[in-house]
Amino acid sequence: MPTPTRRGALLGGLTAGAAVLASACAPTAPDSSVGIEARPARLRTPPTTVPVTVAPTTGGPGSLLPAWPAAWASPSVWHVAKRLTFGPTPRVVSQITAVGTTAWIDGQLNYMSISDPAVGAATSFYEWSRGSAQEIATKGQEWRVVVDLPLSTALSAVVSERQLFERTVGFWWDHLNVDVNNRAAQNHCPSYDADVIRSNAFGKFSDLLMASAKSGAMLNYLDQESSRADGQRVPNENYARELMELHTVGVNGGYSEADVVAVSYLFSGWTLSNKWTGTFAFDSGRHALGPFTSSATTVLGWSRGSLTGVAAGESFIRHLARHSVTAQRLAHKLCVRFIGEHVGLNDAVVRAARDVYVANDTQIVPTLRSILTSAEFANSADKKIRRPLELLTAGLRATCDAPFNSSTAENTKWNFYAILTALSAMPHHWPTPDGYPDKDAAWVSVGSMISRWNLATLLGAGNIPGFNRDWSMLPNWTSGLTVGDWLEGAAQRVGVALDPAVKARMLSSVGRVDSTPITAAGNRWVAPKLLGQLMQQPQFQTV
Amino acid sequence: MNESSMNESSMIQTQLTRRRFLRNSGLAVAATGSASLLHTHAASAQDGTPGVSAVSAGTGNTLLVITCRGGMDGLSLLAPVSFPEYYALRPSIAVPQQAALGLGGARSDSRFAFHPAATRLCGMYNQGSVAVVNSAGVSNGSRSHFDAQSFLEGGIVDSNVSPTGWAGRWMSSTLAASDHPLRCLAIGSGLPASLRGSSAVAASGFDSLSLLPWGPSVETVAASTADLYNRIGVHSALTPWAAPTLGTIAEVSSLGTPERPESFPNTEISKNLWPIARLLQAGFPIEVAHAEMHDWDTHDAMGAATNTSARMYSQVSELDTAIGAFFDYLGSAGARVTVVVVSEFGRRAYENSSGGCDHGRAFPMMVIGGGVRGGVYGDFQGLSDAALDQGDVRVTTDYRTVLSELLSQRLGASSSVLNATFPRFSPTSSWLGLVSV
Repeated sequence: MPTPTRRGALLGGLTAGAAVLASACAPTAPDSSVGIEARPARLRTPPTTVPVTVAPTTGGPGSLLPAWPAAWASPSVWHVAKRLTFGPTPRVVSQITAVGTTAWIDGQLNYMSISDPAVGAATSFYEWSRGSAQEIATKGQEWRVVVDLPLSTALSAVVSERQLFERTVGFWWDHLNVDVNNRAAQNHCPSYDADVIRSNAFGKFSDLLMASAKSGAMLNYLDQESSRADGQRVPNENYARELMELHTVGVNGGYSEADVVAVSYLFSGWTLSNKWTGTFAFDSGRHALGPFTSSATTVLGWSRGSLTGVAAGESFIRHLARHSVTAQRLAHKLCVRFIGEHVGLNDAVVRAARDVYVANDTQIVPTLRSILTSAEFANSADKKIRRPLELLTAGLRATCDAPFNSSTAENTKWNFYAILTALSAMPHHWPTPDGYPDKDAAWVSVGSMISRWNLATLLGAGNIPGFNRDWSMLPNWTSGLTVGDWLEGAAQRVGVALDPAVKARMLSSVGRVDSTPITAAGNRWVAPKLLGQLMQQPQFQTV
Repeated sequence: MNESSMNESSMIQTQLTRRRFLRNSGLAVAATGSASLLHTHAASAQDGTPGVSAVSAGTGNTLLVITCRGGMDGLSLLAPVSFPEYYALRPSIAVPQQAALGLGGARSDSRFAFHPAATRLCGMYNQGSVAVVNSAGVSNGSRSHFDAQSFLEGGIVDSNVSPTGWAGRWMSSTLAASDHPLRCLAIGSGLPASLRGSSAVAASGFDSLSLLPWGPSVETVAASTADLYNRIGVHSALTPWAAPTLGTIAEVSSLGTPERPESFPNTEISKNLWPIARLLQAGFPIEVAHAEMHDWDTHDAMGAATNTSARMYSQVSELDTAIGAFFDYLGSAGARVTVVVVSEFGRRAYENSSGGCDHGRAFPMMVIGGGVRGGVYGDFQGLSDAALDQGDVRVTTDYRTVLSELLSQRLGASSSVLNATFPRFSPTSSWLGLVSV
């Protein structure tokens, strides 16, 4: 876990909108959800007779939600568009409809073939989001990494054509989390994003894990950089513990407290050529094998044999990446992220993905493909809660055209930062090494419901600085339609099916009825209000 | 959905059926366009729900839990200055005897002394309103943050997958006492695991307790949106929240937009304690409150105890200042509020090569304020190799013993409520005597 963080100190330019947005969208504190063991145990409390809701499928069997209109894109297309992107746009929905879901997924997995000019153009405003630690240090004002890197990530989520890649990058950041607020890790975070996470997100997990172990960000974040075992010194256990507990086999993965101590010796001397600006270095003068001095010492089925020094630690990392318990736990975590937390550790979809992972030497793309083309995935529509960042990106992608107005970049940057801060939706700001929780209940409470409803109001009003409302892409006010027709069109745009009673109440709240003709300019002010109300509804809150 | 999460969901639903003023009158009336019944006082008058100025049907007392996340180094906060091993184990970070704040007053104790930054806590100790239970902790020996926090907040130490928290179970087992929406309140980053399984309010501050003033009114949200949340087919994690959310908005709106006073500085813990202090001062019947503070995971660079810019010093100082400001603000109303400070574990007795301490076991559990009988409690067995548990201070008092006593003595929890709150746990035969009723 990190050294002290001082959040909020940077919050200079709060906009009126952001200031009143709540910051309670934050998920609950770290908990048992980090591991494969996270499947809830049975409650000991006697069941009550109160009816419980059934599995949520929009308009599905048993559902009392409004039926999905037949004229809209098919539910399976809409499901893929919601779950595998940061929010459906009309263009994505028509792309998936045209080629079919599997072909679209395969195209997204082959991400290097997708041209993505918008990302470079948009993120070029965030100078401190790229560069080596040395380059960041030379540039100065290193604290700007805390702002620029998360904004670059959030903006990429909005504008990128490589949506599934961006989703997967988010998964790996959570899995191998580093808090960008950590002073020592800060300079190294841009290269962690580019050279560790993004370079390996669709590669091999064993390479990803090795790259993270040798990254300045992780070495500083988990205190490995200063750990030494020479003389009578006691090595720091932090990285050794989280490597096994969080990054690979999980807390019940088959190691003991004594094993944590032993592994901390294995990595003693793993450090940086310079804490603030350097790259990985192995300092044999700080290294001692400790319990591994005996070549018979075994942890999780690994012993060092004749290996010593840095090679021993590297061998252990590769062993952990390929370990069968790691395979199953990673497969399960990916299923929870892309299907839902109802998937159990031993479900068929997890076992299938685990086998693909093992058969392909920890390759991520085939593992992911096995999950995303499964029946379990296809049947999981709306079974996840949208995180606050996803609510924001989905709202922007649904209602804005050129989603980033670079002419006001500096001003926009601070406004965007303030909104993400207020929502606790800032990428790379989770303080503990377990990453943002993948547990639906962690994202919902009274405070976060209020924040979610307020965000919908802001999005409806088109009041997110730098993001231009695309009125032309919404139904036309002057075409002789009724207000009711307009509302149906807006509902289709954001994917919220309406039933007549709710539609009537929404229209009543703005003093209109279904048949009110769109004739006067005075009708136009009701559009933002109705759009906001649509995005407050449960179907927009789930994915 | 699996069976356990359905049960969790139905438990919350059960609680919500009690919110008749929202579900049957508030929402229905709002839907027909009349807003008045969403107002606190009207709701109170209608079915006897305690309103802003009312005292809850319970004891009227509040238990405020402060969770120090990351593993608080108790050997810095309350230094065992009379134990020579302490200085041998911690050559660069021990609290020097001459700088430590001695425990005076009626329960003076020369074995231990407060960190130099804990001036307010020491002052309150000397006045008899701080009890420290040494060597307290989670009796399961996990040194994993995530396991230990799960045990601590789950209130169950034989499983790290409890879907409900101890405070959540306390709340659901005492529903008859009060169904006020602000009965259980957590300020911080979301709903803490200790309050899972309840409809406790979790917010980051006053901003997340109000709708945008220029957006749809609470009546409009109730009519056009919130109703949908109760429908079959909606995600089970969303369903329970619309009604308590509307109730909370209505209640808190009576306070306007409170501004944090300067006495609560711009730190995480002060910002989290301020809304609780304001709402308590306004008379809201909060029974269990929770505030959190991060960054206690001091694996490195804790710094000398006398270095006012060092990491450990500022951690202790921020906590100390916030607790002082909290009781200052409440004044005489503070007599009804008992604070308990917990962490998932303490830290190792000896320092590591990075100038910090790795994960340990026991920590000194502090009980502060209303009803407290000050003094040092608990069985601290010393810092010799034999006394330590794999290098850590041994846990000799299960933290649930302390929480049970506070729930019983301050909130009037019966033995059946305690059994529901901490299943498969029996407190020591008699209370430690930390608090009076």
